[in-house]
Amino acid sequence: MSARPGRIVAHPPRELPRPRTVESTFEKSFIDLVHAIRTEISRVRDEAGLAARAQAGK
Amino acid sequence: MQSTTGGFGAEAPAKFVEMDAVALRYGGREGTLALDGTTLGVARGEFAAVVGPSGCGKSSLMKLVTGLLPCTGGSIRVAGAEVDGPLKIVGMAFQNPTLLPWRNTLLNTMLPLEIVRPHRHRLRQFKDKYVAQAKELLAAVGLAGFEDMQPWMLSGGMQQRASLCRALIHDPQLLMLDEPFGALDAFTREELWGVLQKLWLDRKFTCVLVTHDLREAAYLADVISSS
Repeated sequence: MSARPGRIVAHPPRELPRPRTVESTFEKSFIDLVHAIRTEISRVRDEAGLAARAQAGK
Repeated sequence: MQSTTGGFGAEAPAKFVEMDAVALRYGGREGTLALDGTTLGVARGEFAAVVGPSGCGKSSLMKLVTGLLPCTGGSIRVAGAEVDGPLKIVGMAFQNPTLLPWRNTLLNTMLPLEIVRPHRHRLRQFKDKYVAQAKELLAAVGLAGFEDMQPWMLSGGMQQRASLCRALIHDPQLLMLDEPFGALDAFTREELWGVLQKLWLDRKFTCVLVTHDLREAAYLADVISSS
């Protein structure tokens, strides 16, 4: 499946304090954020895939 | 392609980088659609990351914002002006450090000063001042003492540090980074996140980071957009 065309779909707010450290990337708030971004990207890709298949099925 | 700027009220704060319903199609009308309906706003001094898998238009976005490519739909404004050619207020760094092999680290770092106005007219007269600036910047990324070395004498991580310095030497208002740490090992990459964060906290330029690394985006950015 092609990932194109790209659309920017999410602007998650950032509340992690600065300066961030490599240690802080193992804290729960950080891991939760990475998960949320990942879920959002997967959702958009799935939608794009469905739309592409619907187009091809016409 | 519709451009809907009417939706923004006068009270909305102007963004430093504004992409509105931007489209980019390579190779004419029947060509590949790389971006479609891309809308992005980055405030002055903000650190934004654009994340997404390969082929989702991240590098295209980068070329559009810096004026290296014209968009085929929508509008792009940087610092309040429509982008209609390569921007002077931008520094850029890429996955490949692209240092010139015949120049040492100091002279690679100082390259933009020979090209970008007003520095290129002042370089000869204020050489000492500019050299001091470059050395200070190199020291800030941990390259003090490596000024005289040629690129091939530096590790990949050190080359990328030098490439960051080159992108920042002319004090750009906007720093655009396209997978800058993508070719580095995990430890070096994490180390350079810290280096970049420190540069940004000290200098407060506006930054757009294009990456497929979600941890990198979450570590560095205030705003994360998926592409």
